[in-house]
Amino acid sequence: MNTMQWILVTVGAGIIALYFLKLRRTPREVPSTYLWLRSMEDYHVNSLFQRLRRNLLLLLQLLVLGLLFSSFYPLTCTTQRSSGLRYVFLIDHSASMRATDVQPSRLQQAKQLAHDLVDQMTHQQDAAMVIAFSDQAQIMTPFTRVRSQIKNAIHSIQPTESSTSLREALAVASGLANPASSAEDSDPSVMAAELYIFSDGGFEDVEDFALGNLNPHFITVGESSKNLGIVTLSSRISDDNPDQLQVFTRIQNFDRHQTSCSQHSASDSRKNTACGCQPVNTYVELFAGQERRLQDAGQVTLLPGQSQGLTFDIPIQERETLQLKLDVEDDLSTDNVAWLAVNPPKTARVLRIGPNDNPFLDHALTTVAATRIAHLETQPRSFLNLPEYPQRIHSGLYDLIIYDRCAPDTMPASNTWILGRLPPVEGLTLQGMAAWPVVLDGDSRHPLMHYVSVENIEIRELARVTLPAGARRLIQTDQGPALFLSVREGYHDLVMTFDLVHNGQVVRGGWQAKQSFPVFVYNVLRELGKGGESRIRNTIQTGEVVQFHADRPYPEITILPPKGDPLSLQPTSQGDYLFQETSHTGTYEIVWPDQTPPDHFVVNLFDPNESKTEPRSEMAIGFERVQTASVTKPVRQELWRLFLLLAIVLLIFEWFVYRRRVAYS
Amino acid sequence: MSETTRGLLSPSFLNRLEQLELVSRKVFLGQMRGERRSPRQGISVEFSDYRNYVPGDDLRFIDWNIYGRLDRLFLKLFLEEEDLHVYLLLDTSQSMAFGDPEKLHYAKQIAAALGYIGLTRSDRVIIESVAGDSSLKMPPLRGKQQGLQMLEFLELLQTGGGTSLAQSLRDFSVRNSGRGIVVLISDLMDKDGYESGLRYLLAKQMDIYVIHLLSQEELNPDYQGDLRLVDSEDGDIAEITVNKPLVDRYKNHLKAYCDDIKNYCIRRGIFYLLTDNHIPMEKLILEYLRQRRLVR
Repeated sequence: MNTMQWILVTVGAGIIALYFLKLRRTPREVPSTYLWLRSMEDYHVNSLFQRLRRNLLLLLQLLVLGLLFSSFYPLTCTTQRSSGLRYVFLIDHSASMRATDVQPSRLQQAKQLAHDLVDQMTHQQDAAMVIAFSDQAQIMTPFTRVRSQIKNAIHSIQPTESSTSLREALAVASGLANPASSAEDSDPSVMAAELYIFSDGGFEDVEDFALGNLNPHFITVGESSKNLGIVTLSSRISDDNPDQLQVFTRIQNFDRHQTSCSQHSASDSRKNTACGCQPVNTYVELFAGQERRLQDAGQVTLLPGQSQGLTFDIPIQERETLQLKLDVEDDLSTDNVAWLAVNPPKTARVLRIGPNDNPFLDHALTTVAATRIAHLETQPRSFLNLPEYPQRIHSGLYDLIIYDRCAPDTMPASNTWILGRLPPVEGLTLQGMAAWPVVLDGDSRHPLMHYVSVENIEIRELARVTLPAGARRLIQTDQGPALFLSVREGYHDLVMTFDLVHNGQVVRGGWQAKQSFPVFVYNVLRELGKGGESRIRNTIQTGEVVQFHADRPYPEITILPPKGDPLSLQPTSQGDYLFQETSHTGTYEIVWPDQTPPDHFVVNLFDPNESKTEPRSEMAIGFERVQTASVTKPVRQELWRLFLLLAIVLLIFEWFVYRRRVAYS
Repeated sequence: MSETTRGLLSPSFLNRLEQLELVSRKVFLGQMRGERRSPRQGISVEFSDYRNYVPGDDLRFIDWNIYGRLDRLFLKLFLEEEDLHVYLLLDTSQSMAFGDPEKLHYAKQIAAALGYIGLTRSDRVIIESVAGDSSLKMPPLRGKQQGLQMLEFLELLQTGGGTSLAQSLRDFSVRNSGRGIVVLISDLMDKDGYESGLRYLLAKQMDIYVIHLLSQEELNPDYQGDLRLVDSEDGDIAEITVNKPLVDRYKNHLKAYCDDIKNYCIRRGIFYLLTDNHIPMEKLILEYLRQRRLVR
């Protein structure tokens, strides 16, 4: 027995002992004890037993103790199967559950409904598991029979700003209720369960899913669908004015709409009144910076189901964070705000190794457009022999290394462009040389070949090769590929199998003399050097993983999320940074360890399923359609607690009366 | 007298008692000429028998009519009317101090009523207390005018001591040779038994009446809880936990005890009446005792 059981047993023995101690009999004078003594003669036989048997109060006290004991340690016996049920509570805590159409919020109501359901679990053997789900599922408590633990797990669910994915939650629940098909021995802990899904239905149907032993019940939370939301927010530099940033957004009215509403405009009040469509008018405000400087504002009037785009032109800044806000009061406030980050474009770090007798290549690498997106470092071929060379090419310092008529012994930790030589790539073998091959075609679909024409290119000598597996031909000749791209452990190697310079002389009519060559070099700097593009994607939804590069390989950087403590981040083996904690909408600040100004990225909801707050009446899981059910069901309520309370009150009253009688006697 | 009797009997009740007389189922020899038949023949108006005249007889009792018809002298015999001995024995043990009204007070009322009837009918009324070693005895009273003295004696009686019926009734039997009516008023709560005491009275061939007086507290005890019962007479202890089964068991024993006494009395020609202190005195005397023909 454990400590608690010892305590209860001791209390029981104490009650009996106190009962006898309490028997301080009241003296009373009577005319004669003659008949009383005769009455007691046979009564004295087994007097202890009879006294215990006949004393209702003692029996009541022991009964109360027994009830108390059984409440802590229900009497059980081992049988072949348990008669209790198993419940799985899936509680949606996605962004749409923050809607306040039911007070205080949909999530709070869902938690209360689940709480009520726990109260209706009358059987002692009933067990329940609580899973909170948004874009990912989280087990709040595994199967337990302890009601307080279940309720605490329900209570601890907090709202998120994430989208909804029911599939993952179903997979978790199913794993505990359905035995694996390949399992030879069925797991005895796997058994059928009642699956209660508390949600507003802001998710796609899960068509290809087998419920198996799960018996689903869909508890819909929410009443109305009054909601306006920002569905997109993006920007780009104005084509007309490079000093202007154009910000694009789209606002949608997600209210439940009728078909007739979409047949006329929001300003046609007569038709709106006739068909019962109620337009919503709101201001849209664009702020900049943390101090929320108002940049521009607009106004939209939307009928239910309608959406409208807005464009703002604002002065461009090198680094800026923008916030778009709808001045409207609706059920869901999370999608009334969106953020946008403007960061300077990334500069490609390019190392060129080789002789400097190719002015065409030098010119192509130093055009105005190229210098805007790339920082070029030139080294002679002898650099390959320097002791610092291996360290520098493997440290991630360069995004792109150009080997002009030379090749590395080992491939560097970066993308490469190798001209006139073959790199030590597995599967790449030289078959021989071919003079004056005829260029047949170029792969214009590949980004490297955009706007690049390969007509009339003269190639003096071509190395005939067999390509490594997965290589893509970009320029094809009649003698084999002249340009191909192979993939190596996350890096790309661009190989030209011909020289632009032959015996110190530029090949006449060669590619370097064509207009397409600087375009091609610019494409290489953009695609392989990652130059000119934003470090970070413009639009990131909650729950998505953010991937970005740094100008330098910092061992650790810091992320300041909109809520919570700063987070440290280490680079991956490729020098990228992966950030997963994007559960909150807002602006995230990337703090570099050196003096580099911080960059930003933003996380927005931008999920029509979340913004569409109209609760669903049914959902599909696999082939089964689940209708909205009610939590309340006729159940037998346990009244023993009430009786226990009454018994305790009775005992206290009895003790009080006894004390008074002893005091007065 | 009215002031003294106010505590025991009301004047109106006394007036009604004057119409009654005590009835003995036996005819006893009296000591003085009274108002009831006597086995002794003598002067009265009630003819009994004839006998031959012998010299020396009183010539006034010769039946001259028979002498004229038969020419022989016969003497008319008449039943003598003599007084009756009425002994009223009151249990004054400590157990008689219980009840509301006290059992002793109720016993005094019975004794007063019966004694007054006796005095009214010129019976010889003797009242004694029956209580252990010390007992009070009232000198024989006769005649209505001595009712005050009887009541004063009753006022003197106090409860105290234990009950020893055997010893008390043996003393009484030894001390009183005259036969008559004996009315014992007691709760009969004697742990040594009541039989031996009554046997002494039976031996005296007295006309015995036992009025078994109990209080409501004894008939229907309303005790509750865990009690230590202390005997009022000998201090004996009985520890009980009152519950319905125990109370039922007590009542069964009480009923059996009373039935035993009743059977004992019936088999030996003893009049037995069980009463309690809540029965009105008028009802007891004028109904119950009349029905049982102790009075008429």
